[in-house]
Amino acid sequence: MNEAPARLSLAEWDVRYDTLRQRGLREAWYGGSLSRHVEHGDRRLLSLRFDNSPAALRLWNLLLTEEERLHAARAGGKKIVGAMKDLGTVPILAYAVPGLVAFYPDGAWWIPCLMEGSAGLLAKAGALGIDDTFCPVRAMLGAFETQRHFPIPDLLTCSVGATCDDFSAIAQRLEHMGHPIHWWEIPHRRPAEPGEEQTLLPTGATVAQSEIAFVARELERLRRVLQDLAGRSISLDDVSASIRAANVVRRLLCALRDAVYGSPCCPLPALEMLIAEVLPVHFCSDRSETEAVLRELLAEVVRRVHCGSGILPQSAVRLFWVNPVADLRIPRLVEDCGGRICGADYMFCHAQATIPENVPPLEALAMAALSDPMAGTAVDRGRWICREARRFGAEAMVISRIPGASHCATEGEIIRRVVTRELPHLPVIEFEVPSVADALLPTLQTRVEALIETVRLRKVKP
Amino acid sequence: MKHVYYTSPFVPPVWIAAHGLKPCLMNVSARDTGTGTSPGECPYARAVINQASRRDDSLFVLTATCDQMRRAAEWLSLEFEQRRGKDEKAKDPYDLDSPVFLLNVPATWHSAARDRYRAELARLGRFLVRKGGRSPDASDLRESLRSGRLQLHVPHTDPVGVRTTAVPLAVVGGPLMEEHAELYRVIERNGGSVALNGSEGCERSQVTPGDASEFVRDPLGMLTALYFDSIGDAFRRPDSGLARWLVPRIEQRSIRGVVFYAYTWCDLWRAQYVSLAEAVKLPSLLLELGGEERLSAGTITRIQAFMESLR
Ligand code: SF4
Ligand code: SF4
Repeated sequence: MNEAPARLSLAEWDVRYDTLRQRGLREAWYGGSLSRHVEHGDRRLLSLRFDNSPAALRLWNLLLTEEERLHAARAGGKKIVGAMKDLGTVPILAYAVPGLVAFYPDGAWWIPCLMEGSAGLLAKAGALGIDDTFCPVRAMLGAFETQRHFPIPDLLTCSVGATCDDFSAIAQRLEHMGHPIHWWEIPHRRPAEPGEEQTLLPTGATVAQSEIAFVARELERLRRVLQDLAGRSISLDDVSASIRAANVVRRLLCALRDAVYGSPCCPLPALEMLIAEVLPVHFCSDRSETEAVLRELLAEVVRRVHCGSGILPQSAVRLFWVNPVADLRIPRLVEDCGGRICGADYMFCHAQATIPENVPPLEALAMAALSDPMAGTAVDRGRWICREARRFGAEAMVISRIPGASHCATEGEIIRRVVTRELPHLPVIEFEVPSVADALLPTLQTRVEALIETVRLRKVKP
Repeated sequence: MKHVYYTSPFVPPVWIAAHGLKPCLMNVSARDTGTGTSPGECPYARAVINQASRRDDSLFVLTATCDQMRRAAEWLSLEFEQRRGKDEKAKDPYDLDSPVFLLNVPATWHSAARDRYRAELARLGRFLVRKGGRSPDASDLRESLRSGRLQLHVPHTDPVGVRTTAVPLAVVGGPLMEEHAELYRVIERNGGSVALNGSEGCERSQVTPGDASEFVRDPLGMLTALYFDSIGDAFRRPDSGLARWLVPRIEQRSIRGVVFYAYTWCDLWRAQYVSLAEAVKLPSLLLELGGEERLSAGTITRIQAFMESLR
């Protein structure tokens, strides 16, 4: 099954799927052909390109069956935790005991794109008073209202404090719609002042120890709420074990990032990498499957790197990408223009960093939560971006703004300022990508092409 | 005496005064939005940055009560650093030299959050001392309380006066730039009377002076009780404090309609409109304000139409 890496259309994948089956492809229980998801409404798949490996097939199937698996978990007697906003912390507490399954309703961010707007979630959110001046995560409100996507969670949690105003406002609206929320606080991350103890976080930022202590107390409140839901105690040992299991996933993802972004041959498309990068956030509602998917992807990538075979020519221009894109066609657009994404800050890099295992578990989780780029300054975020861009040899940078997002206006400018200082020769462009970017695609394409052209010209005339 | 500028009702001016510094409420004007805002940027936050960056020898206490203001504080801090020729590469925005202090007001209400607000006020105190203020003793505390510096009061949002023949209205929203206080006059010119003022810096965020001896005994405890425990705001979670403040007063004052306003890109106040309008069960109007120096013709027409529907 070791064909040359390629990007296939959905129809091409169907043919390949049949061939693989004939050759004895073994799949997880949620496996199957990709095109069946179109019948369930994910029409955007028709315009995407997919990596041709069985590992990528498994990744897509894990992603696209999440709602189904959540419904099955509920039917099997599990309690569902809807963690909101913190991206990566609450699920580790929830998965510390077997009776709970956690997911992020925030993931509805991508539904308007996947279903090409046919679910009408953004319109529903608009009718609930949350219009297009808010970030696309407002689709989540529509999903709660229609109840046609994920199951309504048994418990909702939401981190507030140093978060975006969009989410805070939308979650509050959700509570007014009759969905009670357990609010917990992640404060703005500040360094220690004279006389205070300072701690280095897994992402390299620093924080006053008192902030960690505060968040650890918040997590203790959460632990009690989750215990009540699970009907059993969640001991600190349980939490430690869950941290260790999460770290296995995080390390796998880091190894995958290093292998893909660090390789000269681009062994995996940017779209599959975007999905892989989101997995550690809540393990796509199944921790052991996430681990298996990442192992398989990593093995495939290592094999491809070893053979020097990639999906793009080695001349592809190396771009560093800042912020997630709500329209999943954008990574392909970049690749079709002659670029490749060789590093990204999709705003969940804190869910990829290894959580300390040598400190008390709630303190360790507090450190993970405080590593969120959202909690710190844009300068901190900019520095992390520069380190990563340097590490992976980026030749240009794209800051993609998220429509309506409260952080993007000022943050983008500060990040640019930091990048201009630290990497003065790196060309940077910034543009906005809506959930369904049809009208903008030609403009975006022109801008990406121009960026790539600039880099190429520089290579010719140093 | 060094001036300390602030904008939020969660910054107690009395605490700044007790350190021997002069608390100054920033009178934010639409003129300060300057050449305009970047896409997605709140014009009020931009105006704060622009006005503050002109005041070279002052201190600034901004609050992390919304994402936009938190980032405005960072931007401002970087501006000052750059002006002093500092190398941003080596610096954090809030290093010890920065004239900008970011007060982290918790969004949640529980007891640990309360303790944290108190700790933040103590941290503010240390900042003020580092910047030339003095550690307050009992007489400083007493004096600052006596001088009436407890309130954040935005004079330009004072309604003209309640007229008995006019339709009693409530105005609810966040901060208001000087020029946009025109909306009170437009309401009043069109037969309304602002009988309940829920703008920032007005009734909603006023605190009742406490007992001086209590303040001397435990200043931070009293400030926490006065400010953190009592001011409902759009950023607080849950936000129930706002409805708790608004709904009974609507009944007591026989209010017949509510005018909400929010600056463009202000998610927190914009989202409040629907929830509060549902809670008050009265005709409501949402005005979106930009960074212009006058209320737009469209805004004025909408107020007129709303008033007409109530008369
Ligand atoms: S994309 Fe930005 S604005 Fe939207 S929910 Fe995420 S952090 Fe908030
Ligand atoms: S108007 Fe809204 S967005 Fe602007 S600073 Fe105030 S609360 Fe923040």
